Amino acid sequence: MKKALIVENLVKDYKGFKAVDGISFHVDEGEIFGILGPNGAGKTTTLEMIEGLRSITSGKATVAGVKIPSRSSRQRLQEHIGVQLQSSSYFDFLTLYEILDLFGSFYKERIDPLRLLEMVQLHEKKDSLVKNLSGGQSQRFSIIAAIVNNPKIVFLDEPTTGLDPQIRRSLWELIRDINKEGKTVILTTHYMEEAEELCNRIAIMDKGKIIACDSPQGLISSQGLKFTIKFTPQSKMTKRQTEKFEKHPLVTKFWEEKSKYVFRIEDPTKINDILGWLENEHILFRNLEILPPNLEDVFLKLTGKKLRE
Amino acid sequence: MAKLFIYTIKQLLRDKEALFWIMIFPVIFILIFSLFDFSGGVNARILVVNKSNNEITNNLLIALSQIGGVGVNTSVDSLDEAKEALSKSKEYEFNYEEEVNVERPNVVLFIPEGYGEETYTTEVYYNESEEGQISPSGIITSIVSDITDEMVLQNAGVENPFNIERKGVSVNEIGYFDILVPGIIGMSIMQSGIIGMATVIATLKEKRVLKRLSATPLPIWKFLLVEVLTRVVITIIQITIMLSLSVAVLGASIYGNIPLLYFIGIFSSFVFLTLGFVAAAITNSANAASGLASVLTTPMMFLSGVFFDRETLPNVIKVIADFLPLSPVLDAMREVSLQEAGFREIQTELVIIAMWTIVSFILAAKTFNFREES
Repeated sequence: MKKALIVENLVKDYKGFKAVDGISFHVDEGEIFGILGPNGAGKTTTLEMIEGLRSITSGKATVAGVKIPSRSSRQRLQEHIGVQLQSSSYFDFLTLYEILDLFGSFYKERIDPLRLLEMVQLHEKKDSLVKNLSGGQSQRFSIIAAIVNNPKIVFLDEPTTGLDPQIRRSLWELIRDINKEGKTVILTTHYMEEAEELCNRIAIMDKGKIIACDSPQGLISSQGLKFTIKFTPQSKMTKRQTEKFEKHPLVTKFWEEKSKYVFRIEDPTKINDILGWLENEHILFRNLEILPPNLEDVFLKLTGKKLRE
Repeated sequence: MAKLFIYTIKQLLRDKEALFWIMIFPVIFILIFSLFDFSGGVNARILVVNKSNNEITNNLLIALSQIGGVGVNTSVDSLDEAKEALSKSKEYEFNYEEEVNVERPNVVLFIPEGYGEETYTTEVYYNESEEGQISPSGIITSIVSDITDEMVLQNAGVENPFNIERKGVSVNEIGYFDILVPGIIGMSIMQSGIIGMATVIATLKEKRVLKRLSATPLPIWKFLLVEVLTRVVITIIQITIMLSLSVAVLGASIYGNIPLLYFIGIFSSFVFLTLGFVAAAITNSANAASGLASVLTTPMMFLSGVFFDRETLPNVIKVIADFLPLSPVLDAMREVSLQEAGFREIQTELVIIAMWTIVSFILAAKTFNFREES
């Protein structure tokens, strides 16, 4: 598999504070790659060093075939990448069409502004100003503005932060569409759901370091995390039953949550054994939820804290 | 880059607020000042105490009374009486070019015996409370000394006809409004340069547009160059609007070379644009930048002499004021527009402006960080 991005021992030092502390990873061509981590983990700094927007203290990277840091390569690098910055806006007094037309003029290769606007159903708004767009619209706009040069790699810095869930989902669709066109997408996020649903692979970042890097499934299964199972009984278990259930070899943890019983098991394929045990004890239940472990659990296990704290 | 230039101009034309400050505000200034009646610039009522009474002094007095706004009375013989009249504000008949008015004197011109023969010294007295923005005594002093110069030349045998008429006309037609117009042009170049540039760049910085631009292959210097060029175009439009309004509509007089005025305007706009840039660089928000820009421009507006002569400032402040970037701009503009100065005569001013440009460029380069590395 060809590599779109190779990062080796990248460091960003701000007067002794290591915002990025020697990270290495790679991204394959055609991937959607996510950098997941809490605010202040160093995600944006990492991205901006790779984009040529911030100086690199030490380490190196190869981005779309261009080696950085290098004095001469900035322009060549930016010719081939698309960048969406976190919370940046565009010119106040230019229309959507004009902004795309102008940004396109900075590149050798460019996509027709109208085609881009049609991609995100903004073609009827081509003569509007950015300030007249809704939050979701302006975020969609800033994403198409990042691909105005038909780049090989698109960097999206927290593309869905602050948007409501429905709009967030529509942006995921857009990002998938862009990826289907053959572009490698590298994004940062602090939403574990976003990373899990959208990304082929994820690097989990905390305090300037990458603490794990794999596919979402790989990350979850490699950590030996447990499934959580919840059920609502028709009548409460007796004390003897709960004590017995707690000692069941498959159950690793057991507690009550309002009207529900909650327990954890390591191997979800053994669920039938548990259900059989409940039937033997004549414990009937109304519903049953099986919750697989997620990236939140991975993060919690790796760092001892929650992702959004 | 052509596209960038067109779009930058488009943006500016759509920015109504910026346009107001650049175009409308100076025009309002000019309109308001044109409403005041400065009546030909000067109203001097001269009590002449003439101890010589020869042909030369008679010619001098005729020349004076031919100047519009200058009235002459020769009825008083004693200097003391004339000075008392000045301070007590007694009324006299003054002969103007075409009329006689009974008014209070505001200047006493004392011509000693033997004027034009043994001496060329005259004395001018004035009532300090009567000295306005254009000092009648100052103007009379300069007229008399001009005429005296002519006479000295003539007596020295230099071939130079007694040309009182020409001098008279030149002084005659410079009104306060004429002095003000180049001042306001200079002021608006300064304001649209410093305030305009500071606000635009600080806004682009605050909204991280500059950073977004630096993520494209466009070199940032090209972007900034286009911003500057756009502003230069605006400066040209500004000068054109103000000149045509004040000359064609409001009747101001510009004597000097108009292209040279444009040159001064364009040349000086670089200083103000870079200073605006510095203001954007050292502040963190558009509001703070425009505030700082006002702090820079307002004192300059008064100290550099848009409305008043710097000569009236206390000495120490005057020395400082002379070196403010707006001062040489105003001086050069006035020298050209009122005294028909050529390129040579405004060289000193241009050098000071150039030095300021270099200083502000260095400041801008040292302070501005378009990528906002923290």
